[in-house]
Amino acid sequence: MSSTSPIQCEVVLALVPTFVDDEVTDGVGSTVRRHLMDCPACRKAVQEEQTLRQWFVASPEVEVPDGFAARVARRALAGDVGLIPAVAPRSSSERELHAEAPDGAPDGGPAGRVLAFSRALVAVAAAGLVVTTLLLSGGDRPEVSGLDAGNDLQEALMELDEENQRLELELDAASTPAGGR
Amino acid sequence: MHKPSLERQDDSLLVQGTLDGDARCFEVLVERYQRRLFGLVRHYTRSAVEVEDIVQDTFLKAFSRLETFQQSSAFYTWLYRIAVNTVLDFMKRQGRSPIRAVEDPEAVSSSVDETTERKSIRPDARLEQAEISEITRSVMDDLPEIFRTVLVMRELEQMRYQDIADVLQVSIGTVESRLFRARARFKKRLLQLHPEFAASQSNPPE
Repeated sequence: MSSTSPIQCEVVLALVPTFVDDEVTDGVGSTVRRHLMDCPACRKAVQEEQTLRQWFVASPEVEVPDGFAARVARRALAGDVGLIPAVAPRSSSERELHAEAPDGAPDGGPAGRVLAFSRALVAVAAAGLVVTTLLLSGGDRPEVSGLDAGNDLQEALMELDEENQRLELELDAASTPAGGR
Repeated sequence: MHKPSLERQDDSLLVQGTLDGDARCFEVLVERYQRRLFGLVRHYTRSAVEVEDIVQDTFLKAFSRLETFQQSSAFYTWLYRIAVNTVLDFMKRQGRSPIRAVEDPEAVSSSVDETTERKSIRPDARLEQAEISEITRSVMDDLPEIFRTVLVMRELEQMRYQDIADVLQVSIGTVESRLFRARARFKKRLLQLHPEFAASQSNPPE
């Protein structure tokens, strides 16, 4: 049959999904239908396409919770823009606001990071002081009261400790808003 | 003169009423479309709580952006676009079925596995509708979102190509192309997961 020539079948096969979806124009639809009457191969392709659609079945109706619309409208009017945070990257001003959190949290901007660093430094210095004291006061060691080096180290550690405490106080004062807490 | 009740008003009048500060107008819009949005979103998550959160979020976003809505387009198409974006954002954040960038359907060659194409796979006549639905859902859960979304819109929501194109802001040709690839993917995955439903070539469907 002339209507089942390979070229025509090729064209019809390309149209099968849109034909089954009823998305072709009336004219194209009529042409395809005429072709299908004479062409078992293309008819089979249409059947295959329809078979696949049998997997997509309508599921039961969804229950909308009572009072949903009224609740949403109330929240919308109250200025609520949604519980789920927006995915879009925040504006630079928002990011800056976040970075300048006045609570001195470690991730609260440059001031917070300096404060965290100074606290860590104080902790290390204090630990060093304890270790040095233990070493210097060991019973099986010679008398160290006359050793200048030991005293110098102890004094240096104490000075460092005092310096760090001063720095911490200054940073605390700087991060406290005007008027104090 | 008798004024038609809000429930009978056109979307455009309700949108205008909402913009003028009438909360009841917005409530009627929510009532009008809530069921359809619940229906759409449940194709993406099985959790009723998540469905409700996402639909609520969609309406709240729509309300906050209502001034940007162009009355020339259909309100539902605009709302549906917000819903689809909200649900996809949600899935992405949850790390569920992320869009796989390497599988850009427009970039992938048009070649379809011919073996898969030739095989027929149909639901067993003994299966209940709920069982078929569950199998379909598990297969769709494995598809990249870009394919799942067109299948949901076309096969489960019965949307026309033009409406899908409007929501996704792509051409009708792109919708056709995505649907073609999405169905091929669906069929391939279905055959992998459930080879027992593959019909033998010597026994074609009636």
